[in-house]
Amino acid sequence: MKKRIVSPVLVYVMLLFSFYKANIPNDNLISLTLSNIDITIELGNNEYRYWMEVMLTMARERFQTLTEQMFYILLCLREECCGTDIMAKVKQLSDGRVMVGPGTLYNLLENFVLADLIVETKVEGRKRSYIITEAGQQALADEVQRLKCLIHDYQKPII
Amino acid sequence: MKKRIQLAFFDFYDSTGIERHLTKMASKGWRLCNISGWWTYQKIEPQKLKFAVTYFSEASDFDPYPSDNQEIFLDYCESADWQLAASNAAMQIFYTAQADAIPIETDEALKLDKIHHVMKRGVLLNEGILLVLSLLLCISNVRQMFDQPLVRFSDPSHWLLLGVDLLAFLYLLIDIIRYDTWYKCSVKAVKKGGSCCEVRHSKHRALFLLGCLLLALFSQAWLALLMMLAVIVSLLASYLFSRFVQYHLKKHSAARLENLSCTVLAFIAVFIASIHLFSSAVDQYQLAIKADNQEVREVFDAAGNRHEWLITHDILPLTVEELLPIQNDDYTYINDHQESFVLAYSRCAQQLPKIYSHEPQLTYEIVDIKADWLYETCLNNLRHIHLNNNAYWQEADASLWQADTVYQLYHNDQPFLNEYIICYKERIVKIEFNWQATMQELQIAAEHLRP
Repeated sequence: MKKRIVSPVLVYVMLLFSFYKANIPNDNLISLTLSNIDITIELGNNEYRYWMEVMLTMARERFQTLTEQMFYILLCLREECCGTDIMAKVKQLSDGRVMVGPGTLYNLLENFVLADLIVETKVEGRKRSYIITEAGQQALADEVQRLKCLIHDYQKPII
Repeated sequence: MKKRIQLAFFDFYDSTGIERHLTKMASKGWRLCNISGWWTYQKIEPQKLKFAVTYFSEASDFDPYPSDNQEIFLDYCESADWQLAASNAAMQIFYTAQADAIPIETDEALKLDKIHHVMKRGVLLNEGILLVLSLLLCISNVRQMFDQPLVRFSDPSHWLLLGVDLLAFLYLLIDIIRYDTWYKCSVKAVKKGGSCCEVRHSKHRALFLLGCLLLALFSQAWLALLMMLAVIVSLLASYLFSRFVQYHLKKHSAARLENLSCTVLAFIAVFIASIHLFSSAVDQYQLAIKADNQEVREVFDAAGNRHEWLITHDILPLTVEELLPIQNDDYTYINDHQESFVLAYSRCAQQLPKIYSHEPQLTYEIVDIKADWLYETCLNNLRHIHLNNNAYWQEADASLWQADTVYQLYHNDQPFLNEYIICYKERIVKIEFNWQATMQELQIAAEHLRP
């Protein structure tokens, strides 16, 4: 059955764009998300259909501004830490103010790995340990900078 | 251990409603332990438990055991004092006795994302396909009605199926719109820092069932109802058997794809077999009813060959014996009548075996129209001629028939086949004599066929 959803040229261009953007040394981390693309490539009389599940996250929208939970998880992972210990660590770091639920933790760790903000360091049975990457450090630094700007603007006299 | 079964009708995404219900059940001494199809509870001491519904898209009911990722997820939940109560594919339900346990989902935006992802891949996809199918069925049914108006408009089964189809279409549409409304509301609420919206309970499910019940009662389409019941029973049997297959394959650690394929095949096989069984039973039943009114006779043709001739003894409004002084025991009297709330249609025939081809025989159709808007459609259908272009209907003397209009079939400017269409105010009759009927015979026929 012939079905052309996305032209191969467009896919190629999008992939090139994503590689280009991923290599720009800027303070905004961008990765491109192409989700569940069904590609049909016609080759003469033959038709090949590829199911390509490429999960690259559109991190500009998601991780440009970190929520408190994202911030504290990345903070905990400045040292290698097992997933199950992160919840307790976040609670301790924030003096009980911020709490991360297990479902939220699982999802955020998965998304952070996909966005290269953290990396898996070891797997011991079902226990997985993670540590922050340079990109993750940069995201933290950006967030701190943003918060400092907010504080600074807050402290300015009203004109 | 004492168990209890319950049919619960919550929307798949109504996590708050489900949690509230399960907390209430736990306070009465029933804790959920299984949610495959129906909900199974086990007896416990009444206690105050907190429940949390979460959606794990990687999970499948066909997995022999939880995947590594699922195990990790369960470990995270356990470390936060949440125990798994039951799971059904993507839906995982946890409980805790700790009043101050950290909620499983603390990020509403992520929670909404997960629900939406699971809904898109599961419930919405299925409902979307069913919506399209029911729409196509509706269109097909309506088309058939205008292609064969006499048979379809007078068939109560057809109206029942069309009605159920429309109800199903509306039900699915409402379901999808409800989810879409809830999702948009939740997106707005979550953007403002709040939590997902409450799912508003709708009566559309109950209305759908009530609608089907009313249609079933008032359609008087008993045969169609019997077949619908057969379909429901077959679906139930197939479902139970496929769950049995799924359970045993899971127990023997079959891979997900193998389990899924075998379960689906088992479902289809049992469904086809049981539908076939029921259809045969219904056919046998119909034949048994008709058999009272039928007999099989042996007739011999000119060459001395033996043939079987089925004689039916239906009651006809007009017979050959009323028109001509004739007697033949080999006549079969067929009256195929069906009636709906808009149309009644009878196809009558008094016929003989081929060896009597020169003997008088009669065929006629009586259409009683209860809805004025159908009159022209029925008339045009009766006037449709399956002959070459030289055949046409010409107005004839209506006074003989005491009708509004009478048409006679002509071919090459000559009356043809002794075929007439007689139009009354709410009745149309199409009659064909296989002999040249006299005025007197036509008058007698008119007296019998007039409304």
